[in-house]
Amino acid sequence: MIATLGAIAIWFTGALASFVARRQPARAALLGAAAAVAGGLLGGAAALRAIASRGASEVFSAGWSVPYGALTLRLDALAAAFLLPLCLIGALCAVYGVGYLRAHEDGPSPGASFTAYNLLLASMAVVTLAANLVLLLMAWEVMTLASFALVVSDQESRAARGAGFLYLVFSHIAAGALLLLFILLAPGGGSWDMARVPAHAAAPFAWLFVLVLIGFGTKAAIVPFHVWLPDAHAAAPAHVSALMSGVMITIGFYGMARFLPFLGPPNPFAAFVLVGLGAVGALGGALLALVQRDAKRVLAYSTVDNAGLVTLAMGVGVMGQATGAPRIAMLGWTAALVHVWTHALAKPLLFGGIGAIAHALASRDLERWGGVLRRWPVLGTLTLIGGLSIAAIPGFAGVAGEWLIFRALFEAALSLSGPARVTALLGIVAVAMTAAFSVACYVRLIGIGLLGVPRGEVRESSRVAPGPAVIAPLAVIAMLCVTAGWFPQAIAGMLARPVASLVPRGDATLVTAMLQPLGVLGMALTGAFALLAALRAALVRKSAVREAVTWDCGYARPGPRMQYTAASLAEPVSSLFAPMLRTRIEALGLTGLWPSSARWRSRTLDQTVTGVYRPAFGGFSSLLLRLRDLQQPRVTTYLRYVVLALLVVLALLFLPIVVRP
Amino acid sequence: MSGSATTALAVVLIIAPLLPSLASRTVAFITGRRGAPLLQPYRDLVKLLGKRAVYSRTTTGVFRAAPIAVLATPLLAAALVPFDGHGSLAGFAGDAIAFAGLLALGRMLLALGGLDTGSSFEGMGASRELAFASFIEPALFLCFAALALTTGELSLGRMLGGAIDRGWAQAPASLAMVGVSLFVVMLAEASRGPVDDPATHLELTMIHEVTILDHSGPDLAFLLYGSALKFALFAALVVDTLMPRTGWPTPLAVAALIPALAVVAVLVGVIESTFARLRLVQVPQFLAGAAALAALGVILRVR
Amino acid sequence: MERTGEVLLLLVLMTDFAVLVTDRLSTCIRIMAAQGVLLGLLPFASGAAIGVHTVVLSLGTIAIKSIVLPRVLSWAIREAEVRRELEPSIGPIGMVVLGLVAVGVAFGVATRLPHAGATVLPGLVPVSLASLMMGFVVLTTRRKALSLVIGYLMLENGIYVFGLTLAGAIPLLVEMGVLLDVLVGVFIMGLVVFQIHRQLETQDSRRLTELRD
Repeated sequence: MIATLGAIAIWFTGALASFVARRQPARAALLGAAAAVAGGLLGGAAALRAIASRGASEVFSAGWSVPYGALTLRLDALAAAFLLPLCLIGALCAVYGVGYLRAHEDGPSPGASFTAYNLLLASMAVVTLAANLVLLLMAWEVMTLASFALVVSDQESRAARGAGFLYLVFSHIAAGALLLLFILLAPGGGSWDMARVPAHAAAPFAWLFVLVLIGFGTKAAIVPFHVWLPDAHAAAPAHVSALMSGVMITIGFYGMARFLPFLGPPNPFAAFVLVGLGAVGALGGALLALVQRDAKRVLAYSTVDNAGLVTLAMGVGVMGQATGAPRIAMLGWTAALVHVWTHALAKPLLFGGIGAIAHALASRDLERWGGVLRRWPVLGTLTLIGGLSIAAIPGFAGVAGEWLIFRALFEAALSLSGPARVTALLGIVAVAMTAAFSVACYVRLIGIGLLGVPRGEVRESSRVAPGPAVIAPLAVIAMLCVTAGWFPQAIAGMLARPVASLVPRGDATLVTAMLQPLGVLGMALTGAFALLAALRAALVRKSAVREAVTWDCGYARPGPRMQYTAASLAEPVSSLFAPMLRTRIEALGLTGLWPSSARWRSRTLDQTVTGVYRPAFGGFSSLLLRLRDLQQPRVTTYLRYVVLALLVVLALLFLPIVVRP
Repeated sequence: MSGSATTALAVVLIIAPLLPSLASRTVAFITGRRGAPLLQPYRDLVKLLGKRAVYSRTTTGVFRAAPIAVLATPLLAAALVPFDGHGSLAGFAGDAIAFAGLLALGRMLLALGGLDTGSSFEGMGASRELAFASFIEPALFLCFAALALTTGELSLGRMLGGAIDRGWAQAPASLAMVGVSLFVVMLAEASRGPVDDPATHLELTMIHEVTILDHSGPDLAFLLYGSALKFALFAALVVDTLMPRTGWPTPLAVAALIPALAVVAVLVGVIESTFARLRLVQVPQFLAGAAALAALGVILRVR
Repeated sequence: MERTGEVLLLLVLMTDFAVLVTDRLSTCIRIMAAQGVLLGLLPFASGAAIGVHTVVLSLGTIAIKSIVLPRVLSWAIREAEVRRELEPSIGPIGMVVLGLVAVGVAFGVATRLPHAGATVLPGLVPVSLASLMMGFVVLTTRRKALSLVIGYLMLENGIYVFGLTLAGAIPLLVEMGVLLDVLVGVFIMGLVVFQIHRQLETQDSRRLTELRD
């Protein structure tokens, strides 16, 4: 426990140090990053030990003057499962951040940025460790505020401020839900420790479940509470997007995993809701990721897709628990946690790579990218590995989680009955389509963004190769991604104890054995690749290779603008799924015999935003605007209000609803 | 088990290039032409392997990795398919999912290789390939789900090898539907008509042919052999589903595979020459029909 | 025998799906004629004792459902000059999904109905329900009045299949009633269609609302 506390202390110190040194940006960045790395190493070591050891959880407790509060921290297996990626990715992204902020001289001030960054790390760690409801809520708020500061730090633009505002609004709706949840769960009197939460909650299950969904699901980007995410992740600096997308959404899932058992015995209703929302999130996220033009928004929607998959897997886990099938529960929960881990590796890698490219090309518009892999082979290859990982390609990290999700669904379809079986079968279809969409999405991101010929004008100033501080952390993550593709059983093995704490009756070694052949397959794939590459090298002698232009079909001068665009690559899918996407197309021109100019533009908006939130918030705000009429210029009006209020209060005295002491 | 499985795998690896050739020959016969000799693909492969490669100046390692992926993935996937009707060379519970994952890898790198050239022809092919995959994938998984539900197994070797007899005894209708659905998936995955047109080189009609337009020499040989092997894999899945050979002695089961694959190839040729190639907007409907058929198979079994 | 029955029932389902995805009216009519033959063969395979009444029922069904009605309908489309369903509100993939939902619900409900498994051919009840619901799908999504007649026919065929479960208990009664019902209904609708076309020069059923007073 000392190590964990030390890590938190180092992060706080780092935040303070970067704040103090904010006038010297280089030193502030170094101090902040050093603290993030040191804290990450210390905390990561503690988390590793907690995951590996069979011992009981470590507890630290101290008094706190806040009502119902206590500074109680507990490091158990479940907390460690979320603390470990947080420490690892937190440290690596900090290193990346140094390079990123150095390259962005007009960007956010490193001092302020690293203050918020270290605070964010510390608060996320406290959230995973907190064993007191009040402490958890406080840490949750600090986490929200620190990440808000980071989101709005990058640009002075309206877009970033708008994204930050949206993020803040949703976070506070979520925090309100959490507060209500904690009040409903709270034990009477004393400090609100999790250990003292009564077994039978005072409120009906459905209410509590909805509160958990809103409270934690907003952070976890579960549909329909995900709408803040694409804007916020696109606006934040790359290393912050990486941390938020890879780690912060997992904190939401941590909350769900931690609090679902408090709500009462596992409930099939909750399972169906989770699987349903997960399937919608996965499909919708993947489809929307496929049509985004902004490279960072592609990744942001892909996060929604992966969050959906995790939600779906959790739903299968709950379904297994609710129907008394520990094997299914085991598979579902392991799938969820494994996917959380592999996504925590692949997504920061992608955000890092794409962020560096976006900086180098001075644009986030996919239609202006291209030729990146040729110009920056290392950066391009690292991004490619991230894409292969997250598209669940065998031999890379992402396959483990997705394979387990399929496996859990297949076994649920085989062994459960009734609605649970139907749900599992529909889940199989949804996940299969999601897999196809995400392959298409990453082919588009990489194929249009990184390959081919540069589409935009190449500025000489943009030829800055990304520095080692940017490349090194990405290389570490990429190595982990490949290793995880070869040894997926190791991930499941490490997660066996956290899962066992969620599913006490399951056999945790089962899943590890299941994943072994998948790892062998990954290695065999690598071997086959190497063998075939060697065979081709033997067949094609170096001297015989000829370089030419791409076959140009009679065109004398093929130009970069003749290449397929991101929009045209996605067009078949977006028109096939038009009823879901509702892409708006504005086409102008091409009339008459000799059309002079033409314009074509497509735009796909998130249906939850345009269909649900905008009307809802619009109605709410017009309702509030009507209250403005209460404001009148004359004093007598206010006197009338006072009299009216007095009368109301007096009238209340005669009603039985007011409890008199 | 592994002896006959190895033999069967070797047989399939050898005769794989014959399948597209046989299908095209059938088309030629029906349309009153003589067609290319059956062994032409082998001559093509040998010739291409000896030729030098031409690479576009815009391309990177991804373009060179594409043919390797397109060959390596069906090679590995072949180890999971029970060609002898009894069991596969290698396999594990849930390898059906990995089978789909391998094919996705091949598809992904093929599309990336196409985009790497910067040519809009290849972009067009990649775009279509990816769009149709979003219907192929659910159809394939629904087939696997129906097979799993009828046999109670999760690995291809067990589903189509050992337990398929039990499936036919209990749910013949489901399995028949799965067989037809897999056949349609095969047409799409092997880029045959009415989904794709292997005979023309016109960018408006092609999917697969246009994506590999810029590959040459040994790379093209890898691509041709890889897609022929993929054809053979799916044809074998169809044969295993519709003609279970669990009870047969293994030599006979292996020997029966060859004429059965030939029948599938001829059938493909007959379909190709009797149905017009679908318009591109109709292809998803065709594939959705296959998915619906597999879904019906699942529904009948879940009842 | 049972196997044959199941094959016939599956083919009935397939023809229903075929109608769902077809927008050419003449093809729809041909498919319904094929379905009529299938339904005519069904009494032999539904497990009831084969007697004179089975043969009569079978021949009558085939005669009406696959000879008379298709002729009448073909005549109607020739007269009214409609070829295909215009601007279908849901595309073929959506229709297939709806059909699948209908089949899923039918099979789910059928297992929970009392006595549903009691018939010799257990597929009769779910297939009849599925056919009924797919008829409703056609009725609610198509606009041309003649397409509605097809949907009505599908619905009637569903009821006919359901009637077969009672074939052993109440010979002839249900079936003949159903047949007459269909005959009269389709005749009337055919005439109505013809009239609408004359009056409004369109077959769009949305414009039926203009037929007031």
